[in-house]
Amino acid sequence: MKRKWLALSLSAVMALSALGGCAPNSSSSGTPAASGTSGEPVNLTFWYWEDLEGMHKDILESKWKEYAPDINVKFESIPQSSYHDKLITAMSSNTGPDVFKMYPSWLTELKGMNALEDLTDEVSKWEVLPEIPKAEMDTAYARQDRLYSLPFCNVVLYLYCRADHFKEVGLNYPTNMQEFYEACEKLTRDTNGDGKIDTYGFSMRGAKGGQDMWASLVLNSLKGADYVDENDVPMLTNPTLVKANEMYLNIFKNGWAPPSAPTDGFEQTVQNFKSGVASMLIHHVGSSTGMLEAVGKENLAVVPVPTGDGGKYVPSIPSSIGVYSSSKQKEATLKFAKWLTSPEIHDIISDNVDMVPWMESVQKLDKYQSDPFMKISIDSLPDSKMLPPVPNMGQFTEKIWPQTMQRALLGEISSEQMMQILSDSLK
Amino acid sequence: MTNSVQNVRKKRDYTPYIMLAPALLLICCIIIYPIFYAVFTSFQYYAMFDLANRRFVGLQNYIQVWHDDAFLASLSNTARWVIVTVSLQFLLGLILALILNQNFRFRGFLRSISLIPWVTPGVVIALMWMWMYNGNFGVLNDLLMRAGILGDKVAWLSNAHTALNAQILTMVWQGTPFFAIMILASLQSIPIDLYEAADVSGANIWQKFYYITWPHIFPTIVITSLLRIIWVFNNVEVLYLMTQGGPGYSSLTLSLNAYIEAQKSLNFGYGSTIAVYGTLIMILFMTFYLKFTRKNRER
Repeated sequence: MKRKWLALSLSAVMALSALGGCAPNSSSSGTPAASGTSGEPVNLTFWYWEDLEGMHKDILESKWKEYAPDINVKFESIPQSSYHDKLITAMSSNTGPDVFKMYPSWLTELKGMNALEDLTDEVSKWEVLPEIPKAEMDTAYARQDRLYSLPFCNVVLYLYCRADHFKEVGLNYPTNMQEFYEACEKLTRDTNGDGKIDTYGFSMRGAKGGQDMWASLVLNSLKGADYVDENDVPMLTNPTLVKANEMYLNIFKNGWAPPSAPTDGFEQTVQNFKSGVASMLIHHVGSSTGMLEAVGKENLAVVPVPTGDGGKYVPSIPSSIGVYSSSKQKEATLKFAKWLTSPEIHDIISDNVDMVPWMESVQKLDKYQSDPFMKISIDSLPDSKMLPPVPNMGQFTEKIWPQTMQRALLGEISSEQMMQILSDSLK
Repeated sequence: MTNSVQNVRKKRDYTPYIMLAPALLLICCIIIYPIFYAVFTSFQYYAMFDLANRRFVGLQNYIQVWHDDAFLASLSNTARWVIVTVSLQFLLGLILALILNQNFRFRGFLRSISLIPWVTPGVVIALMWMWMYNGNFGVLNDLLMRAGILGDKVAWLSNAHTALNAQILTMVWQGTPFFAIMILASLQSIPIDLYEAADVSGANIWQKFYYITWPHIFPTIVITSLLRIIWVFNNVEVLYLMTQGGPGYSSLTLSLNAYIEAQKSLNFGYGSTIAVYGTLIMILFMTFYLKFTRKNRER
């Protein structure tokens, strides 16, 4: 009898443990570990992804401890490849981080989930506000009437050129699309005389993330062109853009890009350039340190992305800081978010993580003005454009664009069909 | 007296259920509930980027997939991916097991190292093979060109005709040791007397294999193949890391399609529909497979 009761008691304990496992995570953020009202420290969670040169968490943590010793911030690094999914999943289960790094293009999506705190009134009284350029505030607003995130980091795309290759074929760096295509053709060559092409003009990225490179060479063909217009109506089926897209596809079809281009991602395209397999690459300042180490200063040149018939289309990849609407520590979260956007922290991040400083006082510092990668980025920043914040942009960049681009590169669909598919997906 | 016996029986009747309750509760929480929720979600328009419009759409998702080129391509890719991968894994695993069952020097060492592909994490395998296949710097091109088999470099993962085959080869490399080790364990349980009796009867090597070895290892092969079919069907990491299902749809399988749709595009309703179709196909296939193998076993 005793054994039976013991067994039953154990069963009950196990059942209760199982139920405990089904309960929401008790250590989730948004739930204060300490109230903060009784003088106890407040605990916050900050989610971010590491950029190419890292986030330099240790520097930020020590600076924050000096600034606000009564507010503990847990810096949680999430891999960029799964950041978006994790953030959205955490938000949907009400366990999101108090403060988080985000792309402004996710704003509509996050706002639709009521996950973002409205910062408009709070920021209107902020002493740093005059320091923030209008263009950066516009990216943080992301076409909304109210402000739901604070500008944080930014990078803009430019053209990396192998100076040694250009010298060998006697070409100047391209400034417009005609010169760019001419360079693609001439830089594609057999350098060791074995009758096989071993150097290609352009390191094309056909896999996920290649849309920025593509946009800079296609959307510059028509003045004012973008993925969608100001009313969120897709523009990609415009005949001029279809024609420009065909030219872009021909870079691969003509053999001016490595045969691996359809599935080449970030690592492969950068490696192609560093190793000399490709002579041109469109990327941002984040990869400059690695490029200098691999290629050497004398063999590396950077120029703005080429001008098309419609002018320049300079893609930028800004990130911003969001505050979780369900956070129980509003005051502390706002204090931390504003601190991340202060000039001192802006300088630390720009300098250590290779991000483009957008605060005028920081931009003027000699270390940025004398750095050619930073200088070209700073000069291009005012005309740069980010991905439009349409709700399904995540789906567009993760699935639609790479699959459609690869099909077009392999000749399964035409340029017109490709633009139609992309356009339909943005509706 | 009769009443007390009945009471005891009554109590005894409930005890097993009470004892099983915790396990059942766990199963409900971690298996039954997610399955039902996925089926429930598959009848909805449920996209994380458009939560305000979440609604019940009936069979709309189930009809829509048949007009989706990606889904149709993933159906045929899945069949090729599973059948070719598991068949080759079985064939090579059987040969490896038969070799490792012989007495020779360094047998123990060979048995140990043959397990390396199986114990290597899928992420490492995918990244390793991805760079080996690289069209510009890959070691595979280099070796084949030195051997005179290839005249020029091939971008294995960027060509629609070779991408899936290249990834099948990767999976074959990874999964063969599992087949080998399972079949080897089965081979070692065959009584040696049977082979001795066969020798006395004058049986040749093929007859010994067909009449003694094969009937003994057949149940192991059935179970191992079943497990591998399920694992290969559900494999996402190798395909996602190497090509993300590309180029285009050329290496997109049902599981990967469901994963990309639900986890990357955050379109849970449509992703769940693809997953439900995948599950139904697997159930049908498994039923057919088990019936077929049972018949063979009885024969």
